[in-house]
Amino acid sequence: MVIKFTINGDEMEVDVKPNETLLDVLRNKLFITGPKEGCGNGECGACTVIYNGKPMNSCLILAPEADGAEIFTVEGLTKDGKLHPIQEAFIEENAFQCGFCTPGFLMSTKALLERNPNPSKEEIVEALAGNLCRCTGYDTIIKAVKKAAEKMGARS
Amino acid sequence: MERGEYMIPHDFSYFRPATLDEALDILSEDGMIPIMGSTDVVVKLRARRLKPKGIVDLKAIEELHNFSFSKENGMVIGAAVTMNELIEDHPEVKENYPVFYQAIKKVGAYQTRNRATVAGNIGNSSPAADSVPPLLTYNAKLKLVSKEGEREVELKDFFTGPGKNILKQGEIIHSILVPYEGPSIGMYYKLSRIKAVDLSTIGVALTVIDPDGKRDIRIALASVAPTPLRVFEAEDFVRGKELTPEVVEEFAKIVQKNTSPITDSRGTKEYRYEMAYVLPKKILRELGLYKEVS
Repeated sequence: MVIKFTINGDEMEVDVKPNETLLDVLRNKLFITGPKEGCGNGECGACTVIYNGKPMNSCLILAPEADGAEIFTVEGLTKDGKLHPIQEAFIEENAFQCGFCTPGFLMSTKALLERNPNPSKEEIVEALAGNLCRCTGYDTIIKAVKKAAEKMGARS
Repeated sequence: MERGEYMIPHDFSYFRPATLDEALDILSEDGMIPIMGSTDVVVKLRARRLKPKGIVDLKAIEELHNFSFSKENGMVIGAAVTMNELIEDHPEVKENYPVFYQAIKKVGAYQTRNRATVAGNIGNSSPAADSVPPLLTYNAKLKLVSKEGEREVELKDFFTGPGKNILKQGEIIHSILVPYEGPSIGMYYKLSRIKAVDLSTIGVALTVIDPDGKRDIRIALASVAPTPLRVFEAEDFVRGKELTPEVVEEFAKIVQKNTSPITDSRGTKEYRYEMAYVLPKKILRELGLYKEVS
């Protein structure tokens, strides 16, 4: 069946099967490989995309469910070759090592700062609890989110 | 799995009916499974624990997105309302059903709660469902609908075993009805191996209706029995009594003896049994309802 959605602002039509997940379609059909498959069970957050304005695990969404959705992935963060303030903050705070979890963290962070531009440490921890990192640890990630909030506040 | 293969290993059809009538028609056929947030169903599809002929996505049905609250009629939660909508968009939930609010905040992670629904949590019928114990303490009912008509059942009569319930073929949860019996305080205490994205090793909901008046204490637990469990015997025992250390001790022991936990990957039956005694006391203490004699 053919579904339509927008990805990072671009309208797309893609032929999908009901037993494909949104993550399958993004990675294998559209070659949008920012979202990663970690656990495939909604536990690790590496596949997090912003779906109709809210962060969700794309591995738990059946492809046909996404008909009509607005989807945002890490590929949409950079504009005209310029990094997004969240990306800058993650680099400056050394908030990743292997980087496998990073696209998911960036998506959860973007959604958090959109609903809460100045989150407390507790609010950051709660918003990112669904994203697992196995090499960096969370301290630098939390610092990066705080820094991103400052950068974005300063620019708006 | 090789690159490019599908995560879900078998084929099925997908339906997205726009009306309830249309949905109930499709669901009356063999092998159809309804979904809302699909957070449990996709996991089971991948694990080959479900092999449906068709998936019926109910999210396009407008009336299932309804939410309402009034002190006269209580709270009505349509089956499609997500947990984060209850947490973020409806302050009446936190204000009037604080124990339920605490419990749904402990389900999965933020991403999960953007899709997961309370109706789905109930329909999945896991003994570990976090949203269920507080709803049991608030005397929730369910409105079930099928092609044959509708019926209202008590939530406490809904579950029949792990993953099992009284839903008939083609029948779905339409909405959750939670009476308003007055102001309440309480706590949902969840023990799990990690804070987020984990199922409960044990969950205890203790609700006190009208704490400054009749002080009606209610208690229900997750992950200690084949179904979520409300312990009426303990509630009856404590009704009208002053909460002395002796009364609280006996209350906790009654809760404990009503449980029948098992050992699984999340904890041993011995640990769960012990916690079924420790946590009711701990919650009453943390609520400031009694002091242990030192």
